[in-house]
Amino acid sequence: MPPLLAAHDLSIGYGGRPLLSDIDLSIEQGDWWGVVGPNGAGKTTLIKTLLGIIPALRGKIERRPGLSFGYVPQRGVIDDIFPLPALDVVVMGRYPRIGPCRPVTRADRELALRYMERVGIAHLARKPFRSLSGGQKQRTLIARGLVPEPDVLVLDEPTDGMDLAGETGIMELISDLQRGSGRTLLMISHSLNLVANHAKQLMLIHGAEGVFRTGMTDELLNGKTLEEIYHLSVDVHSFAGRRFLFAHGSTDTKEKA
Amino acid sequence: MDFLRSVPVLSGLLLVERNGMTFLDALPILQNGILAGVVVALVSAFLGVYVILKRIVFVSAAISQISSLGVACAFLVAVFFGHHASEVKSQFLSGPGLTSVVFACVAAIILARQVSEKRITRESILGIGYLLPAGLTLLILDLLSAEAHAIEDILFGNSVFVSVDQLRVQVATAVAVLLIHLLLYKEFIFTSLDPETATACGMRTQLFNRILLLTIAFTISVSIMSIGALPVFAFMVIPASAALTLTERLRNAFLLSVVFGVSAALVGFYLSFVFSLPTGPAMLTTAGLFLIPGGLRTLVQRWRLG
Repeated sequence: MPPLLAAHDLSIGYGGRPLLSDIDLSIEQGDWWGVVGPNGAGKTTLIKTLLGIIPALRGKIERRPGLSFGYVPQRGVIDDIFPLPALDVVVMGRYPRIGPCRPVTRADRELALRYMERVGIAHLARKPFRSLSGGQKQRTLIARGLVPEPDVLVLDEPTDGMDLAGETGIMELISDLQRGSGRTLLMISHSLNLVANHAKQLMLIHGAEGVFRTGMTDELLNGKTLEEIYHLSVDVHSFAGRRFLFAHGSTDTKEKA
Repeated sequence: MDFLRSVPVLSGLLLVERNGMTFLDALPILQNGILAGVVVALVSAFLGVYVILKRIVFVSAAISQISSLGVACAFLVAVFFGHHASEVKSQFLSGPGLTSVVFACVAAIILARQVSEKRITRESILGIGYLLPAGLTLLILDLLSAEAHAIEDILFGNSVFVSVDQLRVQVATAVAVLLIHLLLYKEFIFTSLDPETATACGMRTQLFNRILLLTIAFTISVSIMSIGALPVFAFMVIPASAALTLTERLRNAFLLSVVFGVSAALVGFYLSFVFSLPTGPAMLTTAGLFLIPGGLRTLVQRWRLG
């Protein structure tokens, strides 16, 4: 069985300027990938390239025929000037499936409402999207990502700017969704601590250093690999079935000293 | 007509006299202008919702200037080859009208592209796209001083006297544009709200964005020849801005914007007759009155929030 999505000798970047080259990766059905790296490392650029939002500078991306994506952008991407009820935002996820020149049916709206229920916001269906809290907006966008019932759900920093309760709620929801459906999941995050306890596979990226590593979370989460990427001395500890990462300061500074 | 005269308030309004002629008597002369104004207001106010939501107000300003440059260029080329301005004006649809539409559509396709260059912003490109054509048009007007009146007539429109041919083109444009928007409503909304997600989900975002901008460009270039650049720009911006401050439903925003636009066109036209005002500015100012309810609503909301 070929992988759902594979990249060979991929080069990514903007305006012809490569940010990261020689990327090879293979994503299978039911994978749960965390895409992690420092700010500006190229995480979003990689995902946008895989999704076809921006073109690859070089290399090849192979998608299984008929492969569909659900994309959950950072919630700040949605301009609050649009006067749309939350349900209308979720229904948009169905538009590519419905196709041009065809109306939205009652079945589409009911499906959207069902996914809103699944993420715990059915009661907000008629509320304007712009009046929702950060967590509620994020759940709305997750419901929109799910409503086309895609093979792969991609989430870009879904917990960015959230408090502890919001962050925990969203991560539990995402893990539940993955467990319940066996759907392939890719989640971008700059928070290694967060991803370390949920994702089964990791992509560690640092464009400026030319670093791109993929593997099982257990194998990649070690002090040596993290030091190579973050230039930090990092300890990885396990407690009560959870991983905790502690950074001790820049190794660059220590070397200079 | 007799029925109109029998309605108490309406007859009072219609029988207002100006220069020895009532508004009702002047209707047969003015009807093309009124119809053109209403059609332009309707379609511009509808498209204006996209213009405001996509934050491309200055794209429409730049397109109207580039479209005007198209008209001026048609005259320049014709005069260069020895034709007179009146000949060019009489072959309007195959001459300046055509160049105006072509210039506007090419501009729309160029402006639809995303700018990835860091040293020049999108605002700068729009500013240049507005200023350079404006400067060039003025230079051409100066160069063709003998034909300037004929060109200005087209460039700035004559809301009062609109030819039957021009009215037909205007109505056909409005019908075609509204039909495209009816068929592609979902696509235009999704790709305007969140182009990246739409692309990731398999939508042809760039294509829909181009079609949307082309409908705006086509409407602007045809409409400025009916009622002038300033009122068209006003109808693209003011009714939609007023509507968007009053509702939390997008469909209501489209409806309100169209109602405001058409009302502003009708009331503005009437006021321009009664008070002998220039028609375009009268319509524009009337449209401005529709901003008041939204402004008051915002003030009340802020006051309630403390």
